[in-house]
Amino acid sequence: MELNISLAPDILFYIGSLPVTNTLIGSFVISAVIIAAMLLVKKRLKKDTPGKFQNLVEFLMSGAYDFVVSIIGSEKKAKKIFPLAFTLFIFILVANLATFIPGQAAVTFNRGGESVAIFRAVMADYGMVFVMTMITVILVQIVAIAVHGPFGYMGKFFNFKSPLSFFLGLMDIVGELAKIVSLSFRLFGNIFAGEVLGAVMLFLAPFLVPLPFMFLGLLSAVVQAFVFAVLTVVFVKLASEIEEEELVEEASM
Amino acid sequence: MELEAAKMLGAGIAIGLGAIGPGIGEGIAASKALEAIGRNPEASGKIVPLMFVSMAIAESTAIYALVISLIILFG
Amino acid sequence: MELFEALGLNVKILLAQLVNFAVLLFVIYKFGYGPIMKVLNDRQNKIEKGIKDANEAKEKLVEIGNKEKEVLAEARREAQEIIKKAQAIAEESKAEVVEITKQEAAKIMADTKKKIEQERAQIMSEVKGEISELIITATEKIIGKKMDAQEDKRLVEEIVGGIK
Repeated sequence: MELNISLAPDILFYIGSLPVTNTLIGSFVISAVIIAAMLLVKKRLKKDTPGKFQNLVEFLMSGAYDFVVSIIGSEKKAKKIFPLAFTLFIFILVANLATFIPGQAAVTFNRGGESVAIFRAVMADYGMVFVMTMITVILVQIVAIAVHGPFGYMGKFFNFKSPLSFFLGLMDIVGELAKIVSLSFRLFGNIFAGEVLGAVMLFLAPFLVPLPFMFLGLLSAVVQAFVFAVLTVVFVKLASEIEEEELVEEASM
Repeated sequence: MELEAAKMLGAGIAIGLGAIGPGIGEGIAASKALEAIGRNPEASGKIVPLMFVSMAIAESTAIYALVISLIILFG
Repeated sequence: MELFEALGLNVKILLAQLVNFAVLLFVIYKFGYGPIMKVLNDRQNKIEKGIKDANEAKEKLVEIGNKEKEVLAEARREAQEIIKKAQAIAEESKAEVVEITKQEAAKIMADTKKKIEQERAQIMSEVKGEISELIITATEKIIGKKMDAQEDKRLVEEIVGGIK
């Protein structure tokens, strides 16, 4: 038995020039599952007498919505950001939990003589995480520009009042870039580390020993989905807030 | 020392040292949150999510260390 | 950079995943988030409306109770008034009756007095007539007897005294 750890997802085959990786298939499958569940909810949606399934979905959604409102502080903003945050949460959660379905590692695909696992934790593909992070970060920048105006937005980074504030403005640029790195690598690192840890433990002792680590993985699967969605909301909230300094400036103008 | 071995050593040290701070920090966050819940159990619904968020933010440093070690290894 | 290669970043895969995620977001927004939140909102509105209606009904009930009390009080007051008026009227008519009775009594008394007076006068005149006749007869009789001046005078005086 050989320990096989790769940072990148494995390419299964090519459609035209598009390389199809195992995580790409995984994300499609998970999307399809979520879409199917949503369509089912939509179809069986009853107005006044919800069934068990609808109750569960409603509980999840209204709970998440109330939580988003409590973070962002305004119903209007919450309504705008909630669909994205909820989608991120559900997608990451389902993708993470799907890795705990047993027997996946046994399914392999033969590519030119070497066997490649078809299923891989979707969030252990940096590409997928990077896409979601970019959506969040670009959205945050758009919100910031919309709230502060293009000049106010640029003024936050290029400030010539004093050398110190100029330096702090430059640090803000670094901070924005660091946001991309920390947000994406947090999710990727956690899930990838969980996968590697599980693989190593399985490699060392296949029975019972990996169990505690799997529980840990289960916890981090839920927590990371939660954290990613909440951080998205928090970043949007921070971007959409008008700082006191600006208010003072506006008042004095 | 070979360059390859030095890289591996550097990456390991980077992530190892980088994980110390957030480890301590997250432990403090968790202990304080549990203290708060112990004092006021009704507020646990509010404290736990905030604890996870602040722990995630404290984790950033370890993530930067992870990125650095990945860059050292593959960059 | 080698790191990107090691991480397996590929523009085409990124695009594919972006599209995938966008579709997922759209579907959740269209079929999950929208309708479910609408249903939840509707239900909340309904509950709020129900509570509002219940409160309104309660208020109305209280109002109706107050009105009932008011009406009762009004009715009682009116009844009291009517009774008072009736009493006043009764009092008035009683006084009137008493007055009339008194007047009548007075009138009867006066009449009676008058009648008595008249009768007395009549009786008097009759008596006088009879006395005169008696006197005349008596006189005739006495005259028939022996009469002297002294006796005559005494007789006359006696008679006159008796008349008086």
